[in-house]
Amino acid sequence: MMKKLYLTLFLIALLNSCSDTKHTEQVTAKNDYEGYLATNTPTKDRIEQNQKFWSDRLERDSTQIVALSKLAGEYEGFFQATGDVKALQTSEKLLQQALANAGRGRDGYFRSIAKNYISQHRFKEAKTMLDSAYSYPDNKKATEMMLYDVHMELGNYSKANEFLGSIKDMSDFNYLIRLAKWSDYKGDLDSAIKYMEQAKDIAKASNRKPLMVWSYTNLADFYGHAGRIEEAYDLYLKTLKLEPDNAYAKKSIAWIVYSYEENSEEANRIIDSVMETRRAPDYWLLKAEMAEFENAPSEALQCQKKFIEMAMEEGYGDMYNTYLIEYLAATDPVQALSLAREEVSHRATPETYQLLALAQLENGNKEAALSIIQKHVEGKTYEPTALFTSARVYKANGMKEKVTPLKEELLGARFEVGPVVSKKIRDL
Amino acid sequence: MKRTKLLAAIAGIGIVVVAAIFVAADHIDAPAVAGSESDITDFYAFQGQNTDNLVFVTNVQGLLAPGSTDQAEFDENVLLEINIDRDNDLVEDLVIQMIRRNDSMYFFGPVQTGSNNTGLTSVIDTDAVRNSVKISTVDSVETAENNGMMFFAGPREDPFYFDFDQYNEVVAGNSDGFEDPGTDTFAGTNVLSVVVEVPKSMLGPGATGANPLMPDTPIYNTWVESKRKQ
Amino acid sequence: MKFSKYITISIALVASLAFVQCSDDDDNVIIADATCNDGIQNGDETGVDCGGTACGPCATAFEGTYAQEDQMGRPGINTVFGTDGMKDEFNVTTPSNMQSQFQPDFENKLLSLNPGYTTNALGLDATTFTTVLASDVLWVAETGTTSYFNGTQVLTGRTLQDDVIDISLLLIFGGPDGSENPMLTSDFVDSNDANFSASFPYVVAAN
Repeated sequence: MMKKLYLTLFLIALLNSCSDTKHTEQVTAKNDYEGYLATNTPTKDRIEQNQKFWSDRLERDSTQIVALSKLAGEYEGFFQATGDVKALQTSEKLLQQALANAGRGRDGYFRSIAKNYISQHRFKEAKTMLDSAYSYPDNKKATEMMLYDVHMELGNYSKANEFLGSIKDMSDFNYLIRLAKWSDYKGDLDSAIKYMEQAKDIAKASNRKPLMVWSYTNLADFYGHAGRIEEAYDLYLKTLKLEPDNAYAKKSIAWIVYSYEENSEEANRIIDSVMETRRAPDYWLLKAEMAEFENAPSEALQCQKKFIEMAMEEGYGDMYNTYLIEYLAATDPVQALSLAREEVSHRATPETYQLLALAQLENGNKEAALSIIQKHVEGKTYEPTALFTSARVYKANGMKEKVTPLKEELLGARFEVGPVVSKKIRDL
Repeated sequence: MKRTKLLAAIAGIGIVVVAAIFVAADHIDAPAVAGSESDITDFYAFQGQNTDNLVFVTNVQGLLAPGSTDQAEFDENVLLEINIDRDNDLVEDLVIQMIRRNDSMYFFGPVQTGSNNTGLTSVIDTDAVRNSVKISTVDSVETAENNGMMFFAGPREDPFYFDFDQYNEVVAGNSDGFEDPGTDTFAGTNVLSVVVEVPKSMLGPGATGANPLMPDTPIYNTWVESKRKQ
Repeated sequence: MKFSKYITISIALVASLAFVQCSDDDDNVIIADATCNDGIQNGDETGVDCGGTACGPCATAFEGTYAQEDQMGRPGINTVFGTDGMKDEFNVTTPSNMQSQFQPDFENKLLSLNPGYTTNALGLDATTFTTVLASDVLWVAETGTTSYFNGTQVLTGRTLQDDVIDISLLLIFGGPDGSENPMLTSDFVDSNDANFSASFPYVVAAN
């Protein structure tokens, strides 16, 4: 969530953010994580070995449904480990072949394809797949869980709530993480944390690594939202202890070092080590923001270019649309508006509507922007990005009384939005 | 970014990708369990090398490629329970309860069942005789022996063999039958096994007439259950 | 708009929470002469002679109620006879209730798999055969050889070697003398790809 704000800093010429008052205490220590910055890749190596195992079988007989499914799973893992988006597309193709060949259990293949589409941000298609899965009488609960996920993405909150009700089971990890997400959507961070902690306890009791890694990193993110930085840091470290090549945990530690401790040099060092083994556009965004923070505009511009180039690569499809809209709003408002309209047509959420409002604002249509905010954003989300856009729109429309409370709110989310944006918020 | 990750990862938990691919003797299993660590892939029961003993083999988490075998872990929230009915009323009279704690698998029983561990919910009978074995890895094999019982838990070559892929082709209507020779879908793959060998004297007498095809043979009705902590 | 509240509260709590969080893993000190059978709680034991780094887990480590998710008796029963929409339920039905609940579905499924079914090599008609199968328990002989089928033993256990797939296919598709539907009565995989051990644990080393 926090990184959605990166690009907003390119919108207006920057002031010297280094003059901000520092509030930081030291939470991180190099020694805690230095050992994890090694660039060996055990997860990727293992996946490659498995890919060979299953693809050798498919070479002998391309109809083998088990090998198709297993290989698809390995490619999905490869994407997670390396960021290689082509692997995600390969996974999709393999799953479609498997579905075409499947004589039984077809609902499971529909769910697998839906999951792949969700990773690609193709939410409408994911929903179509899940609707197909749901037409089968078996595995309803698994399908309902994913229908909840996808309806949340599409902004169909009452539908999502229905599915959440039908999977209710307070002892089920799968339910608790979704309940946590629902609470977060409702702006009830306390409850979100409580349920995610319960899920973490189940994961910890299971003593299975994948579940622990997942719940540690997600709970850490919630702690970050709540400003509980030490606890967040502790969980990212615990994640790395279980999975030393976990890029997400390393990037999150880099964010703490940068946003909370304002040590962009060290944060850059961490990110650089991550980038040696994993390729993703958002690392460049983070580097761009840190360059801004360091008052190095040409460096920032370069990183920003790298981000745009990569995010526009064909394979990413709509995956980075939100960032692109934020960027284009400043540089090419007309295109930003058309892209934002497209995004809203894909999924009408407060988060996409605020992008539309932003694009309208940058096109000089402040009344249109205001109407969007009032109709689709106000009171419907607590995400800092959306609040920031709202505040800007209110300000442009001369509604000062609306700006002040939002400003206060946003200043409390300082860690989450980072020092550069915090500065801009103060200047609202 | 975080939101996106939460969502993508939620979809990745337990219930999804694997749902379509967990197959074994109980090939593609039911939803609530498919793809999870509670999914039983196979159950074997046979007379041991020492013919005074019976052996029970319970397998979970099938189709492990060699590269991921050492990553597979028993779930400490999942109880595996071998049920033994010796009077042919199809209700368990004895259970052996098996569950992982840290690096070991713990075994309780065989013990007479009570209201606490009959049917669809169980508590673990910690008053029953307790044994344990360190969970093996691919390279380091551990077994334990106590009071004539023997114990093993860990990754093994999957003993199941079946041309599942061709079976799928038949069911899908793409083929009229199996191919000769067939291809063992499970060849080269591994599974997590729990093996327990028990003196028959601990089980007591079975019931004749339970198996109408072998009416004079005393029989135990046996099955294995997986149960998740609530 | 609930951010600021949390942040204020949580900053106050950070130090103490972090302390609690960090204290649960490491820093165990084992007292040298504490043993796991001295009848007192000592060393880093969490109960009398249990818990801690040296002793086995305490009984409390096994507390809780466990609810059924899956079960299995004979191989492949749910897979072959489980009709759409019943598999979930089958996995959480006690064996004593299975026959009344599922036998008719099993029989229908058998006749849809093999519309020409009359009897099988065991001489069982469709109703009798599916009555046997519907109660999904694995029969195991208390005495003598155990085998799913070996010519003389019929359903007296299941060994690792038993070709349960061929036996099942033969009984479903093979007709009274096993000669019907020859392309469906075997998958032509006759044994496992590795040889089993004659001694415990019988299953062999992972690939």
